[in-house]
Amino acid sequence: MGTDGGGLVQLRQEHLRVLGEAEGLPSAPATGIAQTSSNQIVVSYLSEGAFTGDGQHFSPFGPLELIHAQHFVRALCVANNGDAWFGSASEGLLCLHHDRVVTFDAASALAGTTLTYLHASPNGHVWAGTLSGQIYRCGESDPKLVGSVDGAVTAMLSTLPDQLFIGTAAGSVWRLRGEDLAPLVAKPPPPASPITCLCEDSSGRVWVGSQTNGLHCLFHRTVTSWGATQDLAGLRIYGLITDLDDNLWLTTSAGLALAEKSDLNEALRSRIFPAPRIIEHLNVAETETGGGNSVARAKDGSLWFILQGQVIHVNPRLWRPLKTPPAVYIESVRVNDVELKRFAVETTPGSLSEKSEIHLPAHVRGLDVQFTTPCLTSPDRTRFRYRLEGVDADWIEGNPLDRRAHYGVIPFGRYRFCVIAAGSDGIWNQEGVAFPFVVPIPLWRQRWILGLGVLALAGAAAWLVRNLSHRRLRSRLSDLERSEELSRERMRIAQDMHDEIGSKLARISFLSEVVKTETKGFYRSAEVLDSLAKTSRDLLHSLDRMVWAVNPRNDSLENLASYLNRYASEYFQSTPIACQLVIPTSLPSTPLSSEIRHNIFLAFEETLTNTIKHSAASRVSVDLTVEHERLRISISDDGAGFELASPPAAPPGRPGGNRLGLSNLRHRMQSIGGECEIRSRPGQGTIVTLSLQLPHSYGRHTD
Amino acid sequence: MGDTPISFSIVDDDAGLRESIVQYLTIKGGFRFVSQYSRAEDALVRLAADRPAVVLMDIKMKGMNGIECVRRLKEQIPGVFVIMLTVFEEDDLIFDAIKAGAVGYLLKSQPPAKLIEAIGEVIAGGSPMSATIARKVVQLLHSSGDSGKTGAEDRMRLSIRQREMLDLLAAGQSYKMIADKMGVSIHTVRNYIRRTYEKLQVHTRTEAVAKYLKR
Repeated sequence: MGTDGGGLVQLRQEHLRVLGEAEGLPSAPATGIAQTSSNQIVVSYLSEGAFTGDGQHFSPFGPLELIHAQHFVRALCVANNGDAWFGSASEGLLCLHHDRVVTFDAASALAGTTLTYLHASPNGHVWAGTLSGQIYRCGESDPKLVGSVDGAVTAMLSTLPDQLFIGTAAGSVWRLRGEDLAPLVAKPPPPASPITCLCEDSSGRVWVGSQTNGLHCLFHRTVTSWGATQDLAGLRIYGLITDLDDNLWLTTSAGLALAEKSDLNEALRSRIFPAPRIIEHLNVAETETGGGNSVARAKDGSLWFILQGQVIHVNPRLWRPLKTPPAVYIESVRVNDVELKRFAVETTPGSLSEKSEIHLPAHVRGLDVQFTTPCLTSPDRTRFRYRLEGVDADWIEGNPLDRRAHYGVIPFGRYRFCVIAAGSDGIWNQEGVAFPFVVPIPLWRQRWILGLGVLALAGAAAWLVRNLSHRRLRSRLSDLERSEELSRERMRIAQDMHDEIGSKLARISFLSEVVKTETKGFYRSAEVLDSLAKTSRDLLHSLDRMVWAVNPRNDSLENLASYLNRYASEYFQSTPIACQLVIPTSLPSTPLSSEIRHNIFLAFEETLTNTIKHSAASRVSVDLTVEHERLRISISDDGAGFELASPPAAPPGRPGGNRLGLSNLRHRMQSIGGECEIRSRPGQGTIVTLSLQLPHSYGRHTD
Repeated sequence: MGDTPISFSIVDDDAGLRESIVQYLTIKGGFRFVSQYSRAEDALVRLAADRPAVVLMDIKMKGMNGIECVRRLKEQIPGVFVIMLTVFEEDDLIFDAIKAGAVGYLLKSQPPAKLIEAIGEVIAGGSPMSATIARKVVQLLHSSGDSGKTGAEDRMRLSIRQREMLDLLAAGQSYKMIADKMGVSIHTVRNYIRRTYEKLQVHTRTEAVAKYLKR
């Protein structure tokens, strides 16, 4: 924090100060505050007497009797003529007149009463209110009882013409006009809350604060009220005072708050009170009773508050710039770790749009902007948002304590760096500060060089397109059209075979069973029907395979695997051979053309047929894997095996024998760019591996 | 087959095949023919009143297809058993039909006797499942997919035994082999499959609701 902190303290002293022992005041809680005609401040304490000073230095007030008497001062006021009046618990009313203490002791009318409030009106009268609700007029001679109100007097206010408003602990406001004392505001419905303060603004509105019943405004016989819970967010109000600009300052349970004049006018119109802005957060104990003379406005317009026993001095005019959200300053800008020299001169806070652009070096590899705000009260509650227009799409929330923005490489172009800030009240200073800059175009990207390059390239490209691509594209397009058409045609044929022929064949199969059942006994016809039914089913199976091969919907590895899986499990179902299939659960989504699928299937089928016919195996396992984009289907059995050089003889009725069968297998796989590997030894089973390099997923493959 | 004949209806847009199946089942005995429809739409209106125990349903029909018909039919009559008829083993369609609520399927290319077997199995509380369908179920379980980390497997709450059985089925093992390996009866295997189908249907329904809600 270093120098930063020092600067802040200085500013803080100008706007808001909490006074204490440094200024010569006791550390005890203060009870009342008043301003004398000679611009001195008087602060009273419950047991330390009263202190006076110019605002910077205080000293014990008045003659020695007053200081040492332990007078338990509760109320205090200073009359026009400079007399200071004190309400004391033990001594009753005291008046300090030209350094002489006048006591109105037990003999007077005030005997046995406890003074709760003292008020000096501009016409020279001093009014005293008591705990039991009596109002006395003092000043001329002996205090004179004027009348009684319904509870302890907690606030008084004199207004023109010659009126005195009195607030009571019972929650009502009374008015004394001449000799006529009458309640002005009917007692609010219970639970009543003590009136804590009264104040008048320059347009004659009387503001009434209450402990738990919110805020009221009396004006021309109308009363506007804002409830404590619904309108004031539960704030308890202890003191009210307007500054010279008619902004209303409140001491509340949350601290010192401010409601600006414009907000007040709006609140009177809409009957919705704006959330008062908390200027100084103080955690005020809920037991604070407030009341008494706890606020004062000095002739210079500065305001004095007593809040939680602390004396607070505020200069509202100086506060002004802070009431609007905090201003932001750009402290320094570093480009490629070098600080910009001209920068400090050029950026003063102001509108985001007014600055002239700064030219940065052509290659910006790093941009660091440091910004700050002269925040007085709570630097950690100040929020920042920054944005580099042209780079950031939106505002970036800055770290309140590390007020820095960093950017890496910034390409050439026009940019604006903006920062805005919000104080602890969360209101954003939308003006903020901006730093527009230009990163120049590097030489090789200069327009004329680029233009030349583009021209040359365009010329070459045009020539190429004309001579090469045009024709090629056209032929490729028609290829695509044709393959699309073909695919649709294949789909249609598959559909037709499926629907038409398939269901008719199924019908034959069923009908032959029906006839067979009906003609029970005719042995010969049953045999014929059986073979009829079987033939039709065989036909269905062949059709199934053809449809599968032709239908483009099946053009994927997953489909091939499923089909092989199904085929193998059905194939071995009615045989004594146990078949075990291992297929990965998920396979790459590789497209496989009809041709590839068909050939792999035929090779697979052939291998299974060989196994059943020649191996005499009891166990077959099919293992399908894809590794490094290579599909591998290995079919191994625990059968007889054979010498590779002389495979088993052809079964009767099958010319060419297995030797041809095996070379068939190889040819089949080779025709689609694959391989077939056969490993076998007599007595050690056979492993046939069909493998194929898969086309890249979604890549080109044979159309 | 018990003493009381199994009542059945058939929905198929191929009149010839429909007739021959009805004829076949009637002649074989043990079945009571209730009604036949050539259009799924008509079947949906009337089947609730017909109250068959089993509905044989063609997958591919003009107009509303068999899968949609099963879905709606199961909403009307949750207890009905629907067996899909298909000429070829088109796995995607069969899988969809099972998700929609079918408890079995029959290939028209299989010998007609298989139809009687299939109906019997369904009535006895089992369901057929081919290796391919098992594979699809396993894949569905794996594709935890886009609906968050709670995979389909969790949501379907398959038991370890069911999972084991599915894996064996997917590896092409026959019911008999699975039953031997797991030390249970074939009947139990069939029952497991039925449970898996039911969970698949529930899963599909909740999935559909979830998808709808996500929009």
